[in-house]
Amino acid sequence: MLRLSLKNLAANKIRLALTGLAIVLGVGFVVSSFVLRDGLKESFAGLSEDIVGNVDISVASLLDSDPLTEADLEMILDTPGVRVAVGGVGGDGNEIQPIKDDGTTIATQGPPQVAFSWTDESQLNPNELVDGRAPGGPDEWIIDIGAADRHDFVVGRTYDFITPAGRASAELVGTFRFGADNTTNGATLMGFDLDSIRGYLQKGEVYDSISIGIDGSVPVSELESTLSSALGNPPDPDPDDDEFPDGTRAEVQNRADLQADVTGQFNQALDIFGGVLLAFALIALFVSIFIIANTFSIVTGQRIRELGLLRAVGATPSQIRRSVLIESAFIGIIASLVGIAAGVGIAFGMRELLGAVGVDLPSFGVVLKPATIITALVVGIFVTMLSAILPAIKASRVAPITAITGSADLESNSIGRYVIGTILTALGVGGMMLALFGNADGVTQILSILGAGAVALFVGLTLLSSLVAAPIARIIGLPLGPLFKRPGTLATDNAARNPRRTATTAAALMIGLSLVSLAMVLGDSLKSEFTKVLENSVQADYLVTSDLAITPLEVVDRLEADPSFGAVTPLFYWGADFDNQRADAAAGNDDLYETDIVALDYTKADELFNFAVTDGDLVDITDSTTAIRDTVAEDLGLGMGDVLNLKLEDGSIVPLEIVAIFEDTAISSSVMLSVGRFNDISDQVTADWVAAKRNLEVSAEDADAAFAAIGADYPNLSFDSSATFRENLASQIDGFLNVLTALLGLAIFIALIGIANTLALSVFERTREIGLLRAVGMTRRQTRRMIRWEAAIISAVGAVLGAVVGVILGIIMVQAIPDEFLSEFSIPWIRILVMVGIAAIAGLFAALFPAFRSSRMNVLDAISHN
Amino acid sequence: MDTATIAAAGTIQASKIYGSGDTEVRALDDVTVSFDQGQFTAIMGPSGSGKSTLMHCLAGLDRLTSGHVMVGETNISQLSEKDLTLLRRTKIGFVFQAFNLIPTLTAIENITLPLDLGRNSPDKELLDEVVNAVGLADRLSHKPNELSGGQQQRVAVARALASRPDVIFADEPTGNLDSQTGAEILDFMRRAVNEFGQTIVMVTHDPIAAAYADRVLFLADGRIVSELVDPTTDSILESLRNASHG
Repeated sequence: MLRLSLKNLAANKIRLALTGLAIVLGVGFVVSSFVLRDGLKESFAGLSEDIVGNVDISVASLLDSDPLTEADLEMILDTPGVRVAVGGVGGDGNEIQPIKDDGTTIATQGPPQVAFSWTDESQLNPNELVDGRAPGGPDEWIIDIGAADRHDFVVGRTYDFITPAGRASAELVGTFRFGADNTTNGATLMGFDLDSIRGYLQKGEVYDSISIGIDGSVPVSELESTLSSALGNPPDPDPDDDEFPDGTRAEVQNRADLQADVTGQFNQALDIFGGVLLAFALIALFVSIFIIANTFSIVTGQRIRELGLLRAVGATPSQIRRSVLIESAFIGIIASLVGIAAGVGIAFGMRELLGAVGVDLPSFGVVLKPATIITALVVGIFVTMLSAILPAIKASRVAPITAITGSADLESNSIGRYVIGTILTALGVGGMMLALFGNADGVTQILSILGAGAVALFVGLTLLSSLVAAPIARIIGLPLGPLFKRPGTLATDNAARNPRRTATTAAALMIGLSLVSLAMVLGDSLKSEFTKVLENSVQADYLVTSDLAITPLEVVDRLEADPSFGAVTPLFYWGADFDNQRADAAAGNDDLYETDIVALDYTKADELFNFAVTDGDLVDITDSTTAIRDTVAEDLGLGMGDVLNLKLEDGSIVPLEIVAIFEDTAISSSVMLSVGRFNDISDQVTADWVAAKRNLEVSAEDADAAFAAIGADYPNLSFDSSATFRENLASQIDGFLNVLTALLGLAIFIALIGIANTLALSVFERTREIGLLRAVGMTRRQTRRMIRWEAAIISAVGAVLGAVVGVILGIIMVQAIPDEFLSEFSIPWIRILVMVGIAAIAGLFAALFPAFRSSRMNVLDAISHN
Repeated sequence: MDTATIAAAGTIQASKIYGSGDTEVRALDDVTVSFDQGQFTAIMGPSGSGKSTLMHCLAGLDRLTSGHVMVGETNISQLSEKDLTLLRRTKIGFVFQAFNLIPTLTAIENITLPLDLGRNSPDKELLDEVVNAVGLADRLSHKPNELSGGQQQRVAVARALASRPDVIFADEPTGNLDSQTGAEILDFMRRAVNEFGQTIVMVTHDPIAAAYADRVLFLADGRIVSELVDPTTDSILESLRNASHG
């Protein structure tokens, strides 16, 4: 039987290719997510080494309330074993943005712009001067050679900056190389002298970190602990974890720890990124299972006479079953191997695709780990054999008499199918709801239940969809009769004649498009939610926002100074811990109550916002009072006049009297603090955003012009009217949907291949019929049209089912999401209809090859085909 | 040959050669034949005699190696693929041994298929006439799988008649039927010739079927070896015997 399996494969190369293609792509997408992740990890690992350079020990400030100072630096320099030490200041990224010649700043969606204080101490500086000189005085800067080249910064010229402190300007005095060959992965590196960067970042006489070079007289580990206690750190009971005891001033790390730390941070981000890609790859793989199963099923049907003959000459049912499974295993192996190769290519294609929708990735090398290859083979072979199980069982049930009659009913539409379908669908919806809104612990558990639920749902829906596939196909095909006469109605009839085949083929597309339309419904609902919330709660005329919520307070000053504007306030958001007992807490639960906070100028609140205050007045918020949301009041069992205990960074507690209670308004957090109290717990020196009201004595046109004029000085910030801001927010959601759709495009692409596949097999099956049509006068063109429109109808059936399922899932989810997050419900009908239309057109294209083949058949051979 | 009548179809020095060199097979060897309008011709001959090849070439389903095929006024040897298809749709009718009907179409839709493909609305009177003659008025909305074998062949003949083609080619039209049902189909074809003046060319190996024709051509080794006019079953059997002895 093994020989038979192999001969079958060899004899049916097209069948092999068609079946294999879906697996190749499914496996390829999985492999590409690993290749992309591992390649990026490798390229970032090199980056981590370059970042750490030759620093032996690093001391990083942890307490904003007790930062590292000149005294600490001197103490370190005096410590035996320390050869050299340099204090540095730097941003997390994108705080300091230079303005290019064209008046714009460097986009923040891509690699970051990193500013740091330059040191001439070569051991502690991973950079090497290339051109010009180091920044030696105030308002001088230096840039890495790659960024200078990319963004056309010229040494000797003075550039403007947007910094947390506001606008600044500095002369570019030189360029440098980062590490050995300036591999910055696209980041822009900028060096300033210490005082300048302190000014820009609004830091006092403090250091973010101190880098140390040792003289070797004291062992590194001993030096580490000496420094740690000298800095006043309490003993760390568990030095290996990332937790520090309260009051730890600074983290002391040696070079290896530091590198591991930096690499770990990159890897964590890359693992999440790879995981997201893998999720979409698995969706694509899941879709390809339908395609493969369908292909095996159709092929089994076409081989029925041959199978009957095998049975007649003495093959047992289990031999038949095994031969189909062995055949599938070989297809799995071959296709997986091709898929691994394809995956490497897809990884690079994916980088381009993500770049096209706004997600820029650095370049990377091909890293194909053994684990990737093994995973790909296991997944590919497993998926292929899984797809072949049902067809194999069906094949084994072919009776010997079939060899003579040539017909057998393999497509029995039993009631059981629909019962199982209904149960799976219900289980699936239930599972997804449980995952999203149940009490599942941890992301992994939620994702596992969600995935299992989605699998059950879509398998169930596929089983059920054969009930409706034919009627839907007929309805969709209605316009084809008048349009294309007989070839049009034949296309419709053909799409409807085998509901199970059409349903399974369409199911693949249904899955992809239901996820797209689900996202569209959620996105559209979010849009209307945001719009409504903003309309209701923001009365300000003008908003200043930034991609990274870094709006210099200089903007507030300038707006306040301008007579065109009335009330102006910055808004600051942060998180804080409160030392209050939960109302329903079990005894012994002494966890802090952690929640989000906001601070603003409450004297302006009435004019600019509607905070839905139910009790008290926000104007009463001072450094010793607070306002809380009704849900917080409920959680903690607190009311007006009660005390909320704010925990500061150093562990001390500040009691705040509750002077107001408000309801949720999206822009309000859970707790409102005074700006003074906010500064106690946050080192944030910039506003998240700024709201302003027009001075009513100034005309709207004049105020608009004044607003735009200030905005022109801050090209990295968005200066919008409230209405424009709402539109921008909507387009951001659209942008996110585009990324999502692009990733789901993988699954949709496989689904279209499945349609091409089914059509190719159907055309083969209907050779005689097509021959007859050609004999009685159907032209080649009409034949092609008939096949293409059949594909378009199947495609549209999948798209319609997908849209319906997606919209229903959307309705269920929007209902299930608590109203405080999402109360609005909106269906983007036009976008969904456009999507269905595009799917149908894509179906037309998917069938180009089968249509071409059908029209090229030799009429005489076709008629006499068996 | 009767020069007073007009030819509906025919070949001039038709040759069809498969393969080359040692494996060369002359399926048709310089055949010149003409089929008169309103005449029912049967083509007989042993397997491999070229009778099917002759019919396929006449019907535009296959191309000659050399020579010409005329259908009506048209020399189809020079037609493009597309014109050939249009010719089959309008000037030629087909009845095959089996699998004559499109399973997704009803009986009446199968009958009007060639007309529908041409986007021509069928001549209502003519269609009624054909449908009446075929005697399936009550089964017209049935799908082929709901019709008996004989009924299916009658639908196939009706389809061939519906477009009033210059000539109908029938390839063993009764080959899959029992003798009584076969006789009904042959009767029906005979009536089409008598009542509508339809030209029919039928390939068969059944002397009883051939006896329904006005004329029988005998083929052997790609050549026409003899011809019978107004044949009977007996005279056909006689000719077949002579052919096999000669």
